Amino acid sequence: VRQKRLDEKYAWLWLMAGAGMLLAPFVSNVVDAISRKLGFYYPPSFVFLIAFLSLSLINLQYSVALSRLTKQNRVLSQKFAILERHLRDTEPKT
Amino acid sequence: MNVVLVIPAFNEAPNIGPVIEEIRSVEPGLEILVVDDGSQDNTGSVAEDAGAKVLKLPFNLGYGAALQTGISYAVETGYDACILMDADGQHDPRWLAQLIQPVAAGEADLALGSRFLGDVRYRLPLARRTGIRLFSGLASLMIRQRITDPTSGFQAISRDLMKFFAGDNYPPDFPDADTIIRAHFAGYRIKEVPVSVRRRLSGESMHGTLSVIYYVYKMTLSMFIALLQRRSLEKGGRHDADNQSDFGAREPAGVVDDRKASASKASG
Repeated sequence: VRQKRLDEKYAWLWLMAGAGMLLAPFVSNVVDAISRKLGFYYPPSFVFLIAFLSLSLINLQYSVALSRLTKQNRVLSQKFAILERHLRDTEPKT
Repeated sequence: MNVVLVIPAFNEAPNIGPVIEEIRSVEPGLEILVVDDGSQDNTGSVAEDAGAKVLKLPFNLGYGAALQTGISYAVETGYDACILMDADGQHDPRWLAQLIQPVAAGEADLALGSRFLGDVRYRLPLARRTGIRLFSGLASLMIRQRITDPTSGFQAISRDLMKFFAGDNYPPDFPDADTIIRAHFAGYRIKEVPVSVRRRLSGESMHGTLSVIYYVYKMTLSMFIALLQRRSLEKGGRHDADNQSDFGAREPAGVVDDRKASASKASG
């Protein structure tokens, strides 16, 4: 974040993910209890499920961001081409 | 009527010269606009030397986005209609007059050049034929009007529809059956005109065998997406003038007007 290679917008996401992973071992009995309550036979599979779902969500978010960027890029280059044409049209012919 | 011919070209240097020359010999008065879609060869300068106006995209955006660039330019510069044509010489310029006729007469907003109403001068590969038949069936069903050749890239477009396409209503990769469906839902009138299509002059077609499979999948998907967007298209379409997001409309009006004036001065 400090070197501006990562937007603050995404930094909090990674921070949360890191914190979650760090804390998980300390609350393993809580995790176990929750997963048993939910009927998971093998508690780690519950953890994997959560991880898988959150990664999918992050991926979806990236796809959306990527689509937006692609579109902005397209519109920008179209505008650029048109403006360049106008510029050449208005320039006196040499 | 002020008409411009829009030709998107990507690495078509060997074809574009003869194509433009043929057009000029048939329709000498027609303004030709070539959209150079980030070609790595000298497509742009060949087209310019042949007497066309060239819009040069900084990198390859794809067929649809290139067409949209040309359409946006035509809207901004005040053309009444435009004709889309491929750069590979498949489309015979002798059909240009027939193609623009329904648009010029105000009978249609979109005139599609159909090679199946006309005559095909060569046999299409089986995969292509099956794909076209599938899209033709689906499109005809969705818009309740017989469309024989929805994959045709030889089209004439009215100014109203140009504005619609210049906004957010044009797919960047392959505008096709889905574009027709969108235009129909938005209230534009569509008409097919018989044309003949020839074999391309040289080089590879943009659709290989594998890409045809992906193409069919993608097109079917986007046709159904168009169907899902029906409501919003009806709202944002032809009968709702302030919803047409004109490419230039977001700029202060004075700037656009000045530019229009100077552009027409330069071309005239």
